[in-house]
Amino acid sequence: MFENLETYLQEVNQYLAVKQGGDEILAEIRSHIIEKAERESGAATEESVQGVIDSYGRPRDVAEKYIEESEIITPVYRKHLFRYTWILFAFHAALTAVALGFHMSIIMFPFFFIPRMPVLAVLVYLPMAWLADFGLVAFVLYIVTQKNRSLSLPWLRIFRARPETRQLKAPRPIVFVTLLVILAVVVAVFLRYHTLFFYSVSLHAPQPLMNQAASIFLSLMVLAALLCEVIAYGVRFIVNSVWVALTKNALMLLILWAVWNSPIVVRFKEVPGVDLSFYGGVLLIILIAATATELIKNLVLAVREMPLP
Amino acid sequence: MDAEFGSFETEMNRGFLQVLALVVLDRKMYGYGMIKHFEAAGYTVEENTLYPLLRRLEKNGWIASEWDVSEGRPKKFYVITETGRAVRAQALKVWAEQGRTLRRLMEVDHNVREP
Repeated sequence: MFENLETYLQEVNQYLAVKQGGDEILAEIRSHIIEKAERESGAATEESVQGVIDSYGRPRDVAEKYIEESEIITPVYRKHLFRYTWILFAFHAALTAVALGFHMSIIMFPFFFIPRMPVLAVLVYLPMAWLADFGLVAFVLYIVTQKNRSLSLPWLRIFRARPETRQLKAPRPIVFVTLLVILAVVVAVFLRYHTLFFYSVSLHAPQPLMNQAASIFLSLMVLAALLCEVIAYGVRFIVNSVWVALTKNALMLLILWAVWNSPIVVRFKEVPGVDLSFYGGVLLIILIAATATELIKNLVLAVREMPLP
Repeated sequence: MDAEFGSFETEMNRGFLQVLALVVLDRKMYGYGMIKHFEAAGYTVEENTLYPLLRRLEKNGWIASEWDVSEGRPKKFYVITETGRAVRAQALKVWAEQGRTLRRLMEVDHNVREP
């Protein structure tokens, strides 16, 4: 029994991730080292054994040669690992936007737990969410590799567009000018009437659709959204990237969130037989859903453009 | 260049060593004895390469093993199986064919001389 040999074998064992036969492997290495020490030095002593240990290799390298064909996740799933993670994260991010917008927690055990949180906490939450999604996908692929590594996993092609059609279309000056004109008209209307929401369209005495505070606030939000759209379109003349669209989507969601969470009470003009509050709420939900969908779509496109780590 | 060739040589040796093991294990041998046997024939193999390889061959059912404890210190002896003999015959055929192809391409088609 040589203490240095046993210490060495213990270290090998730390890295030796084999399902069975680990003790037998160590016994064979032990037998080999002692015999070699005896034959090459005349007798097995701590010193001669140490000489053989030194030439046998680092414990980690020795163990690695026994396990080099047993991957944790088979390399052919590498692209699936990142693709599935980003798809899962896109859902995660969209649900987070919904949780933020509606000021609520969302739990989908055991996949998601999105707590009710302030907007800035999202900056901390989303990176952690990505890591959790990566871990979940890695865990599933680990199970698949161990159980049936030849399984052909679906590629989950969300958009079937050809590569050349995936690119953003080049911005057109006519569209930009039109957007500018619309923005100018809307600003002019707001400056003239202090609202963009009218019950009647009489130029002389238009009636606002809602109370003054809500009218001004919601009009400003519409202006902010329109300005956001115009700036994003303009920036695309310089950088025509999907990240510009993504940033615009995020800002739009932020504006919609501000509308949803506004402390200003909206009192619509009473119209017999029509519940304007209900239709206003439905319209807001549709806008949030559409913006979140566009954000996911652009997120997937952005991920496709990213090089594989 | 040396590091790249080292990796290339390791790849080449992996298959070669498997064939060598199937050849010498026609009779019962243990790891240290095999290494010495290879050395006597002019081929050096690292022990930490040989043992994992023997384990893989055994897992494939090409060789079988048993522990011998009659000499005090236990030794694990290996010997080729019937499946291993069939694999060895095929491997040698492939080896010979590869050698012929290589020589034909070197000497006849591309005029590359052996160093």
